[in-house]
Amino acid sequence: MSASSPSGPVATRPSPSRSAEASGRRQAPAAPYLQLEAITKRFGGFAAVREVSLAVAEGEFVCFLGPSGCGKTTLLRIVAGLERQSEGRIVQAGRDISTLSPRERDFGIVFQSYALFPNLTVRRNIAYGLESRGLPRSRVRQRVEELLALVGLEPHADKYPAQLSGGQQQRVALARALAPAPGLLLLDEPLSALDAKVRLHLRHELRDLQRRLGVTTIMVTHDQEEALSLADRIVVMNAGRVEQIGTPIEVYQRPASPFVADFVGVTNFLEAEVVGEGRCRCGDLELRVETAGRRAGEAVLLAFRPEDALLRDVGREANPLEAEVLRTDFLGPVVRAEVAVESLAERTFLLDLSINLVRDLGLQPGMRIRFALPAERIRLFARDAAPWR
Amino acid sequence: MAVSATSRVLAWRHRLAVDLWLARALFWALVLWLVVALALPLFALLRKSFEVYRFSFAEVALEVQRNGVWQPQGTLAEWVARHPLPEDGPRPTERSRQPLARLLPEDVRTGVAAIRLRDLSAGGGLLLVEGRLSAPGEIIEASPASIGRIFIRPVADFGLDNYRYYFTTPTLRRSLVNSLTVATLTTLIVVPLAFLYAYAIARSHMPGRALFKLVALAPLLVPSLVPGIGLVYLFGRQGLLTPLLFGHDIYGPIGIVLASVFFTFPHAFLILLAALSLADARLYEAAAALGASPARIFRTVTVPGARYGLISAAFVVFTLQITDFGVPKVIGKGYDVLAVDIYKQVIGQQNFQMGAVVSVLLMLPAAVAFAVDRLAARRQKALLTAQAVPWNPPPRPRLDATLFVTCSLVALFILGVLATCQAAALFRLWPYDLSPSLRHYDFDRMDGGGWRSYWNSLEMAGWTTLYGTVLVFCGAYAVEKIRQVSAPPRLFFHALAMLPMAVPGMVLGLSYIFFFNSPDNPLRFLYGTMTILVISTIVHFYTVSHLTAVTALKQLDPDFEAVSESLKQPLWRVFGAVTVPVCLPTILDLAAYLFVNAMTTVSAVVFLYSPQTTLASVAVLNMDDAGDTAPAAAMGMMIFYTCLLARLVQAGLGRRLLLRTQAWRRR
Ligand SMILES: Nc1ncnc2c1ncn2[C@@H]1O[C@H](COP(=O)(O)OP(=O)(O)O)[C@@H](O)[C@H]1O
Ligand SMILES: [Mg+2]
Repeated sequence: MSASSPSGPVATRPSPSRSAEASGRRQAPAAPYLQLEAITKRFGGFAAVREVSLAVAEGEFVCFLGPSGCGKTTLLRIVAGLERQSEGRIVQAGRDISTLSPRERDFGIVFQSYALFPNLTVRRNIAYGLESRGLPRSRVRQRVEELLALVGLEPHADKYPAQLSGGQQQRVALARALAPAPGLLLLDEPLSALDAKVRLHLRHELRDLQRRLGVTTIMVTHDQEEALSLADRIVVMNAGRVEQIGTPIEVYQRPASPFVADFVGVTNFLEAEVVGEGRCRCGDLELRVETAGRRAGEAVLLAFRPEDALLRDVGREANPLEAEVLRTDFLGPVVRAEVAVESLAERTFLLDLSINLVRDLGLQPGMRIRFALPAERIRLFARDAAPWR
Repeated sequence: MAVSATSRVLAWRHRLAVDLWLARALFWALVLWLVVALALPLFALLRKSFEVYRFSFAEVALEVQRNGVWQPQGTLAEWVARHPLPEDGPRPTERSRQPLARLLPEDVRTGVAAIRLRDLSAGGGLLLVEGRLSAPGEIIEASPASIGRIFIRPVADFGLDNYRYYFTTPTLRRSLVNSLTVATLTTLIVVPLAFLYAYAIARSHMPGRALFKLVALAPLLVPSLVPGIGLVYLFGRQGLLTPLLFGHDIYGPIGIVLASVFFTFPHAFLILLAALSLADARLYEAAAALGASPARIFRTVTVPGARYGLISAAFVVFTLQITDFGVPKVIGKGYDVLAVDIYKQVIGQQNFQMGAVVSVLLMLPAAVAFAVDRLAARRQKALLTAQAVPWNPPPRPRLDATLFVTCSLVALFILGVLATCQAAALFRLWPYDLSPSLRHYDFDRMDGGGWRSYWNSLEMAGWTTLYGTVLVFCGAYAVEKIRQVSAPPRLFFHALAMLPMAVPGMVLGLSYIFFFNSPDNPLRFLYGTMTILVISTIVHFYTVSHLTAVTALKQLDPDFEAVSESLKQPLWRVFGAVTVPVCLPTILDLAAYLFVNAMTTVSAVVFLYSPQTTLASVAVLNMDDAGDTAPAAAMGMMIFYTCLLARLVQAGLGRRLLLRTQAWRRR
């Protein structure tokens, strides 16, 4: 058994991540708590997970983010031992657990469906993992009470799962997984079954809880907002592969591939060709970009976020463009405008404009506008990469 | 290459806890049990149907002594070529014997003082002398006077001859035609009738729907022999309703079809009720909004919506009828059908090969019906989308009244048959001497095993319920939930579990004879015991039970086991604490299903009972056969009340258990 034991108090796991967090930690500390080495999983001839390597520090909150079917759940189940990897090694707390059964590993898991035992009360669900381990009854009862308090479900302790709301069920599942004080918490889309409002609320709760307990956590999600707001680090996955591992800010601001740029946030793409140092051509138009050592003649993909377009002082910026507003969507704090750029053969882009700006310009469909794309905001990708969508 | 080697090593190193090893072992034990109790017997049956016998005259040498001199005559084959055998000799079968006297008739025997026969075969046993088989190479000498004591035995071979013989024998072929005729007629009557009945219950405001539903299910509680007996009383030589037949005889196709309608009705009804309960209100509202007339809505929405149910019901009824043996046995008289042929060939003529051939033929419609049913079930499921809105039909007084009349007639028929049987059992001589009497319950004075049969049946049904429920539920659990058993063996087990549906009871019983009664089967000690009756009954009703259990288990979250494992609990814990309690209503239903069927089944066990293990349902058959019709009816009704009680206990127990253990279902 691992060092963790159910007798440990709830909120005392040390959390080394706290200090590192602020500085946008990129590397995991020297001895990671969990290490995946070139994990591959094949179902028949189909590789659901390919060569995934990853190090997770103790106390860290990592999100697996990717579209549905990209292998997130499979990877999580491999970590749990519920699925056997075809190749690769897993080390947890210095112990090679590659071939151990789930029962010999140290983790708690919350499934997408919660898989709460419907015929057991909340209390008995939470106690399930504490029973038949030789713990005295009073100790089990005490621990269950601690967890009920932790997730704020004391008044519902004797209800059955079907009598609870979705959010309450989710908390029961969490409490049940945490009851034996596992060293690693695995969450498979724990919030996806809830409606938007509850989801937002529980997202914060989950984050607080994880910080308080300091338990190393891996969460699977296909919701980029969720990943961005919760994770210390995000592992962006696509078709079984890791596209990028980084902090939310890194992933958002410096996506490592067109896939990441497209999947995380909204991105406008433009095919272009490098013509010289700091210059790209797209049709008849030449744009100033940071080419960073790419050779002339290379086919590239330019990418910029909707919020990167500047509409004020266009004349003083690089890459001024003229466009016609086709459509505007009111998104609350910003208005997202779809515009067609004449000099780029009526290519359409999405631009995010602040409400103030829209009001000042009197922006509406049919209007012509001028905007600029600052060179440093345009990202460049090689175009030979396989299409991602 | 290196890749797959690594993964194989990983798979091999995958360590399992003790309980998982046990679960695996349990799974393979279940596979083994289905192989032994189902696959091997069926294989023995198939083999038997290809087993042919021929008289191997070429392997017997003949010498005759004339005037004190032994004269070699070559083999018997050469002898027969010179002295042709008379026609109409015995057909070579396992049990037939060719008397030597037929080969050496008086006229060719003149002047012969003695004969010598020599068994030239490698295995011996071609000659039978006073009950003793010849050894290989043995010489048997006989005087003309003792020639009558020598017989030639046929040898076994494999070939298509049995099938050829079947299709060229007009009497046998006629059974095939007869079977198809009554099965088709029954289907054509039952399916529309059951559709109306189900429609009335699912979609009308007819009064008394709950009661009508119960009545429709009553035939499930009696052996199929009972409607035959009831009809004989109602429409027989001096029956109350005989004039309704306008001179036709109830014995024969009319009786078979009527009795078959009785016992197949609830099966069709249940399927169609399920199909009609799945109405999607949106379709009806759309049709009505488009101004379709009620008749048009019925034609374009109602019937198509239930079409898979209709197809499935038709095949099920057809199969049930064609494989049923009780009805034609009781009321068929001279009208031979396939199922009776099997019985006659095996029990009457001891011709096992021909019994096997008919069995194989009988499996074809059942196999087709089964395939269609599974297909239809899959389609039906696809038809029911998640957004379907239940349809609440408006009251339609004229239609409701019509349906009420139709349903009443059907219910009257069902209750009338049962009441007649009960009356016949309780009165001295129904319908002439109406003084009440219990003498028909004095089973011990009749053929069929007496009261002991009844107690045997209870015992058999008890064991079947106990072991059957455990086996079926564990099997379904293993197939559905044990991740540690890989997919191909699970599919194999699932396929095995589907097989009994395509195997008629008679065929199963016969295959058990071939398999378990074979001299070199180590399990032969089971033959003639209560155990083999229990085994055959569990297997006979395995598929429906298995599917019921699988359906219930599929509704459980697939991750329960994973959660339990992640919480470091052994497999049996989640099974005991969650799976079984949650599935308790289904388990109870399974148990009642097995009990009722064990009480009422005739077809498989009729080949397998022994004088010590006679059963109530078989006693009905035997008493009726011996002319004790009233006691047969009495025993039939005993079975009815027992099954009714079982269902009531299930309902009562179910309610109590639901209150106690299923509180979580209430919101
Ligand atoms: N047991 C399995 N057998 C075969 N294919 C599977 C199995 N489990 C998952 N897959 C396949 O692997 C891929 C990844 O699945 P999954 O990990 O569930 O994706 P995600 O959780 O990212 O949506 C999918 O294409 C899925 O069909
Ligand atoms: Mg998933």
